[in-house]
Amino acid sequence: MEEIIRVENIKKTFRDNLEILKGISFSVEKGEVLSIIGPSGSGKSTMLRCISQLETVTDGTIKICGQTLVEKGIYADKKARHEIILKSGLVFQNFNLFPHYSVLKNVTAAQVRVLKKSKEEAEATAMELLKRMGLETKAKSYPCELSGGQQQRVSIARALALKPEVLLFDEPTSALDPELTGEILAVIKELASEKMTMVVVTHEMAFARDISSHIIFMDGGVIVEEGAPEDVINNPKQDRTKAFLARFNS
Amino acid sequence: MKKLILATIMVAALFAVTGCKKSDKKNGSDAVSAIKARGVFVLGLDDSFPPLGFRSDDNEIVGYDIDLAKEVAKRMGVDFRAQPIDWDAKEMELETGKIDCIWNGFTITEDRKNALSFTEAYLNNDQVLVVRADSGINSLADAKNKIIGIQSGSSAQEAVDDNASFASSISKLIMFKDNITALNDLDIGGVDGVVMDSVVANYSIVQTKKPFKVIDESLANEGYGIGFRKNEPELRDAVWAILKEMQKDGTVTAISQKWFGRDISTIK
Amino acid sequence: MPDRYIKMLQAMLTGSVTSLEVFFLTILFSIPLALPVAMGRMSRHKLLSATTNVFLLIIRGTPLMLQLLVVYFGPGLFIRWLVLRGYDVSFKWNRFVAAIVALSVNYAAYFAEIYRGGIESIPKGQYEAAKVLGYTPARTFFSIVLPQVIKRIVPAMGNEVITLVKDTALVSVIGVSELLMVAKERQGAMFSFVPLFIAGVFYFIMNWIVSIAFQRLEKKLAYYN
Repeated sequence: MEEIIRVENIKKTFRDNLEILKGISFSVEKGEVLSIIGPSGSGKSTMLRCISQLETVTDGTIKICGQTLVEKGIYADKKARHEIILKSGLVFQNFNLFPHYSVLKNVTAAQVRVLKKSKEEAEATAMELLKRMGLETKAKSYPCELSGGQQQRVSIARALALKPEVLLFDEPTSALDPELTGEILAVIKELASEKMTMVVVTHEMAFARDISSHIIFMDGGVIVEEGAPEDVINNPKQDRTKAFLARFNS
Repeated sequence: MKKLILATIMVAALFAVTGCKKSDKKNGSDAVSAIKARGVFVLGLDDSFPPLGFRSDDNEIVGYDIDLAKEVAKRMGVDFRAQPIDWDAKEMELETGKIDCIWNGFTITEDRKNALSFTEAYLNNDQVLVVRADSGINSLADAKNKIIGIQSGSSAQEAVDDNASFASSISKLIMFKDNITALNDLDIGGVDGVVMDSVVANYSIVQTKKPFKVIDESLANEGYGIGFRKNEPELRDAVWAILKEMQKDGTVTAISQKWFGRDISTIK
Repeated sequence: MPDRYIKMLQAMLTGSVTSLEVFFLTILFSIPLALPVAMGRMSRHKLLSATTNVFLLIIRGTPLMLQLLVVYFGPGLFIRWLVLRGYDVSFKWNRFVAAIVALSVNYAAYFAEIYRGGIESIPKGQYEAAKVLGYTPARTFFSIVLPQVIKRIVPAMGNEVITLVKDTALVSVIGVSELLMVAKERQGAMFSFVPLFIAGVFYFIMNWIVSIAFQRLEKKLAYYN
């Protein structure tokens, strides 16, 4: 099966000598849904941001769809980095929609500017995605007029518009009211059923257990435990994993 | 509605305050006693007009007019204060009582005589053209198509207007706030000549040693006088009487010697 | 109408045209100039940002009138100094050009700080979202950041432009005959307050127009929050 993401021994130290990633390795295959769980400060968001090039690693290797982004700490050239960044899409905790663009333009803008698609093609793709998200009536609205859940769905459509190979989610429901969390999880579930490769950093344990093909538990910059959801969540082997999950016992 | 009422009250109060000040001066015969009561005689000047009224190196206001005025105030039994003003605003300063007279190489003109109480001339003056020594301009006729500067609000404007051939031959007339700026501009070539008082021009050139020269032809012959409020002729008469005394007893001659090297006073 | 009043109106009309020219040319040059200045101030290169900061401190910390005098007389006096030392140089600094230069630089400094405030208030997330979508830094700035900055700075810019309308009066200090100087001169020559009053009305009307224009702009940009 095609390997979409390969991460080997990535390390990251911040300027104030804080080592946030102490040697992370894992891989994600096509069609897989990987959930990453762990306490705050464990480095899980940082790791996702390293994969999507919002941060740089101090050492290690990252390959996306076989193309090398960084090899043992040495980064590829600008052209390669640009190609790679388009292979993944990132959905932020705070949506980060462009407030001065309509919902439709949020989804078409990058298609036109970056992929050089024509306006008609971009709008067709956008409307189709908005329809899947149940937001086709909101195409002409502005983000400030939408609820949090709706904005996050637009954000997902915006990422999908560039047809990435993998979709990354950085705590997609953490900024939402509990009632709205469900709609996002439903969207992600549906994407999973369509075999979209995804990596989701999340606090929603039940969700992680239900949709993931693979779970990683991170703590203190290392992977403490990983495996199938039933194993990690239902039968954690490591003490740290047990302690963490104990907090979520419902 | 409330705001409108408040605004009206404030404006009315403003008028009342300024109106009050004016009524002080209405009764003319009190002018001299008013000054004596206030205890100070305020002279308004453009403090960049040497040698009549200007700033010394110690930033004191000094000059021929200042020395005369100080002595006049002393003989009137009051203090003296020199008040620098914007030359364009001199009439307003006088009218609103901020100064008691305009005494600063103030040229007597018909228009001014209509609006103020003027003394007779205490000094003679010419409006002359000052140019750079190396400019090749040697007469008024040479100023054809040149750019000329003058001080705004000065009698230089009238002098230019009264010389039709000169006025029509120059290319542009630039106005400055004061003569020092005009001369600075002459120095850097922004203007080709400055029309100003010969008294000031000659003094400045000697003092600053700038490479300027004064064209011999006079554009206008004038007299300097002291301007008082129209409704205070008795103050003018009192001051002029003191000046005549000062001329008679040699005080004026001494002051004139100090500033001009000889007695050029026209007080009789 | 008496001849002197006709002469007054003619003079004041010429003066107001000059004031308008000064105003529009300053706006034309200072608004774009302020952007590189703001960039310099925000630059990561310590030397560049420190130098720009010193420049901003001087320009915003000294009177505009003084800057006008320096910009106009400075080069001229320097040339005279060179000529006295035997150098064969000549340079004629047009006073109107000097006025525009001094005003543009001065207002560019104020606008630059406003731009900087606006740019720094854009959340980091906007830059990150654009980056993961494949936008280049330049494209991110012009398509995503700048439009949002413009909306945020409109009120502050309106304030500065209104101040500029009034500051045009300062160019008289280097002999540019703008409206207020003409009005004062006519007031002195005519012993009448009428010219000053008319000048006041002119400035008031100009600023009224400016205020309305900025209010319209604010409204136009209010389609989102």
